[in-house]
Amino acid sequence: MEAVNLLPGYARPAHGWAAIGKDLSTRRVLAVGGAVAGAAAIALGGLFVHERSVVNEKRDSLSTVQAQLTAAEAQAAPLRAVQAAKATKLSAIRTISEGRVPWENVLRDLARVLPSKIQVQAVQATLPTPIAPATGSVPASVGAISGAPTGFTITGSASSHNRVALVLDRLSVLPWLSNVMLQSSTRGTGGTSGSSGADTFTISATFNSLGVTK
Amino acid sequence: MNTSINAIERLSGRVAFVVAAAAVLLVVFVGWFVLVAPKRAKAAELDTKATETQLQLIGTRRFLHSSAGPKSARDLKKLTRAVPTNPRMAEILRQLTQASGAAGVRIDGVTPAAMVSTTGGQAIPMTVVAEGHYFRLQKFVHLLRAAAVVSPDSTHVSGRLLAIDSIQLSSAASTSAGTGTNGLITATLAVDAFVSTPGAAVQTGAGSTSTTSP
Repeated sequence: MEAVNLLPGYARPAHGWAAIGKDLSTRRVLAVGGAVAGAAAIALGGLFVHERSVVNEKRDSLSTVQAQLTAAEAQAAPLRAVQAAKATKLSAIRTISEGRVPWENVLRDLARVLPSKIQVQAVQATLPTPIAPATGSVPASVGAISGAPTGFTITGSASSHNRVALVLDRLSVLPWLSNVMLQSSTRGTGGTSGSSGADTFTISATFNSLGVTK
Repeated sequence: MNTSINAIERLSGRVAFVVAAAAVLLVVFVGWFVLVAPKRAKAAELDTKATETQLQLIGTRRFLHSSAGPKSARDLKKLTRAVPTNPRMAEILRQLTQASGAAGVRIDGVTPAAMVSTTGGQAIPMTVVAEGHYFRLQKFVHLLRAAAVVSPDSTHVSGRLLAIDSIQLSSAASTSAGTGTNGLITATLAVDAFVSTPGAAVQTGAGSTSTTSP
């Protein structure tokens, strides 16, 4: 027995959404639903197949590009190795090259500042930090006194003590010398060739390679 | 079978509608998120990877066709001339002789010592004794330095990279016989030549002296 609503249509509650499907046949609803679900499944299956083929296509093109890249990298590898070797070598050579002292400038400066009427017998200049540490092949500085500045020593003879003082003043002007100190200035006794009666002097200083103009 | 048919028939149309709609949505959701979406994500990922690989390939091909590779090879050859992988003492002797000839000084002795480790390789310390006038000796030390000059701005290499650690000048008269020197000076230089690969031996025995005259 089916219940019958005796109220008129406008007076019946929950009219609208609540009424959807109320009058539909269950079998029909399920059949339509099944058909829609099947269609959706077929559409999704088609989409899946399409996407799978797209993925395969992209995978193929990626492997082609990767193979090309591998071949190109193999060709480029020796050149890259050369580039790396060059960079390493250049860096090492640049360090040495820039650490060198332009000794010609040292000699030029020395020739400019030394006054006349003096005779230089020996000059020695040594880098504070030699590039090859174990070199040490140049003999020890002439007349060096313990505690005296190191790196630069000049020995010579002058006509007077005033001339020796002038040598000290002039050497102090050089930017690559500091701590210029007189080690000795001895009145000559005569007898030695070309220096009879002249003052023999030894001056030492600290050699600062950074002060040499490059 | 009959019980399930009975169960279907017992459903109201509304419930059947909800069940059908839920089934359709379930099929769509599951199909999309399980089958299609992962494939699409994979395709996008492969696409990105392919683009990156393509860019790498373009970069590598550009490098291969550019002058950077051959230039690096040329530069490396030049730098290897300045700092070879073995001592090549003959080359050093030739360079010293050439510089002395150009400067107008005489080389009295070249004495290499055992190699020592230094920046980026090894150094061959040598004592070079040269005799000449002051400004000719100045030119000589300039030529030794100028054979290889590497700075951030430029690279000039026409021979071995040589560095002078110390310099000692003495008037020729004060050194040996002292006969008729005419202002000649004996310069004793501590010179370093460089080798980029460790382990190579100096061709001339350490301590041996090579005496040359122009």
